[in-house]
Amino acid sequence: MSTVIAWIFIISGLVIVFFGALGTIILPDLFQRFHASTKCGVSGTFSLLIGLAVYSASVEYSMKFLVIVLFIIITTPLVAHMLALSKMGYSGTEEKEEEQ
Amino acid sequence: MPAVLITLIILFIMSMYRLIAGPSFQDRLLGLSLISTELVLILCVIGVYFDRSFYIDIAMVYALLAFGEITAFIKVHHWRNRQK
Repeated sequence: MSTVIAWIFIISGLVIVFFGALGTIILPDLFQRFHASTKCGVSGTFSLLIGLAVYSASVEYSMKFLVIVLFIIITTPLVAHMLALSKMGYSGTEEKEEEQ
Repeated sequence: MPAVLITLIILFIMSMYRLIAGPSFQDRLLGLSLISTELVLILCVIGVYFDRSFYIDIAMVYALLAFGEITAFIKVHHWRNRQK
């Protein structure tokens, strides 16, 4: 029973991360790519690590997975926010990109 | 569990497209962010599958390092644009 629950969580996490990577490839705009990458990365990591914690059935692994999930939930939207601020040039207008 | 590992490696290679062919600097860092998240997942799956606890410690440290790395890239890019 717990194996079935673990595999449901692991496979749904893999599907969510797959759609995140696919959206990063095919979406046309940078801000739409932020949408796909950040949301699918966070929720896919959350689901897959819950599945791994149920699969391993050990308290030590589960506590470490909890720390990783909390850290990724905090930092991934923070990185996307910093990248959006960097794209908008810290002043609200989109800065022109020059290739070096 | 090896199927999960192979699928995650395929997703890792798919996410490298945006890191290599991104038109702007921010696109490449977005790909780097997604790649580091998937590398953390790969390390966790390896740690559970081979029952080695230190891979999960490596995954925790790598999640911390990836955040600092991307922040440092953004700050250096900002400084270089300010000096022009």
